[in-house]
Amino acid sequence: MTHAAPTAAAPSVATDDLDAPSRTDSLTGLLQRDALLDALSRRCVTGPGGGTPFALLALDLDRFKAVNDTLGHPVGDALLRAVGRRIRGAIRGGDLAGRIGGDEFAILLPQLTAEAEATALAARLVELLARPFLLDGHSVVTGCSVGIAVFPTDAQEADALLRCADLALYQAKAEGRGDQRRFQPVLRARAEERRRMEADLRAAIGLGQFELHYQPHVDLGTGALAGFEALLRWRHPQRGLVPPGEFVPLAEEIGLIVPIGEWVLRTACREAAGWPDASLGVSVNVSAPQLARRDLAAQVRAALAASGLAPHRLELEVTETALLHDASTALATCEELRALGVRISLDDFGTGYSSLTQLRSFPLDRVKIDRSFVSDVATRAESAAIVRAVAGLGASLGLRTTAEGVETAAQLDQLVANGCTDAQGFLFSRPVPAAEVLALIARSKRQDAAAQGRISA
Amino acid sequence: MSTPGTTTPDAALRRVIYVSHAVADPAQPMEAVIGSILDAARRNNARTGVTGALLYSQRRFAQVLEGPPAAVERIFETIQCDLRHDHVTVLEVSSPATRAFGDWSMAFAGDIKAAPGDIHPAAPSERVLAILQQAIRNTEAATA
Repeated sequence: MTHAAPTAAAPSVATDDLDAPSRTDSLTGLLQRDALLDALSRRCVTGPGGGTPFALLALDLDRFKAVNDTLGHPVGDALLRAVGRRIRGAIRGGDLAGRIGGDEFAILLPQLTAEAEATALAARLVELLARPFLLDGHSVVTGCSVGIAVFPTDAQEADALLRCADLALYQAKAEGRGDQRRFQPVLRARAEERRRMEADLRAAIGLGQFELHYQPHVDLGTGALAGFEALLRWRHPQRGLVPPGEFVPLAEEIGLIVPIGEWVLRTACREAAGWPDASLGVSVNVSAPQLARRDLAAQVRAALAASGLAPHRLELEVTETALLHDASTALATCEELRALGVRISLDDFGTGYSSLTQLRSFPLDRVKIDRSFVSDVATRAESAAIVRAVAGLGASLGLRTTAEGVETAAQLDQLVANGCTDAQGFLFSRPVPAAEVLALIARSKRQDAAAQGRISA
Repeated sequence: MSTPGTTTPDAALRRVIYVSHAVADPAQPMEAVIGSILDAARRNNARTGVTGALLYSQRRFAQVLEGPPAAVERIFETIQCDLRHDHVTVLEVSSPATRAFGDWSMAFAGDIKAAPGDIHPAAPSERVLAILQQAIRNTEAATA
């Protein structure tokens, strides 16, 4: 409102016995990292006379980097200074606040009679720091997230306690920012599991733990096997066969999806080149980060050259989301790939933004109708109508339409009736390991021959 | 010290306009809260060369502050730390050539008869006053 005096007097920060003014951060006036960690260590005393509960808050600004990047470092520094003032104004007399990183802060609440005090302070900080700052003629809203850890419940040592508060902070950030989270042991377990998983995943290519399984798709016009979709599997020595849903998001996050994607591309091309029937295609999923890189076409060219696979046998499956990510790069890459003779299909159609712009703008050969429409195509008129519309759209645009996840004969009948040109799913075959592909091809040939025999007989 | 806005040309001016929600305190009637806010504002603004206007209506505040940039930023920050309001939204930060409220250390308009010095809409202040009034009306629908 107006500049009435703040309701609470700003308590001094450097009140701790050994905290000389020289140990305060010159920018914010809060304690320096070392000073705060020292104060923290001194309180982490267990055994006789120790064990007095206290809380540690880890606080991180939600949009500091954006402020720094758009308004420059002087405004970023002014923001940190103002944040320091608001934190000083919010804490109580005995509390200790420090700046422990660029835009990371920690607050020690030594006199904790109830955990609710820590929660209340966290709520106050979240609210106060979400209010606008007026800096150098700019109104800046940064917001913050807070993690809370309590001694000795969560950890008995300074480092471990700070990690607990940090884990709670990450959780608050992961769940949408601008809020607080209390540390839970499951967060530590999850973080350790994730760290192990990350280390294992980084080693997986080198240890040869990835393999491709192949699921056939069938041309509904002729009933013949048309090709295979290559599907990535991770054979982990302890975890067994890990499905992609459990490691691909992590691989994307840590930047491993690009090398893994390249491995998939090269391996699929090599294995497909060894199949006895040169009319069979192989389709490979391409992730958004791969598509956003300008060298995807060069990678594809190299994979084709190394394997000897004819370009028209390779099909790259991209998702609507991947195309949206960086549409101009994606378009350029797709056109370059088409020029090589490689085909492109739009995967999981109907589940993303389903923009008709993409059907018009991108050089596509195929649309794959998502399994969610296929699963009830025989039981829900709405799904059948959507399948019919997409197949009709595909036909008008000269695209093939493949139904994914076909499991029953009733579904297949509906898909044929509604104009799909191809189908894939457990009704035909599960994804099989590379070693079983040859047997599957041979069986399909025998079936074709038998069918031909029946027709001609 | 007289308010500088109308008598001397302003070298560098900053204007900030914001709206916020009043935080209800059952122990304090709103008249008293606004009275104390205005008292403090008028006292401190005169000292720092800041002028402006405050509107209060339907549990919403809308305020304009004008003055030397550093003083306006300092006062704005103090206001941010005041727990008698929340949901602060800045509507305008500008560098006007002249003040709209140069004659008032803190003019007041509201549906509470709280203070003397009510605003008599004059030419330069009218536009800003309209912004404040409109802002309160606009934010009435958004309670979150």
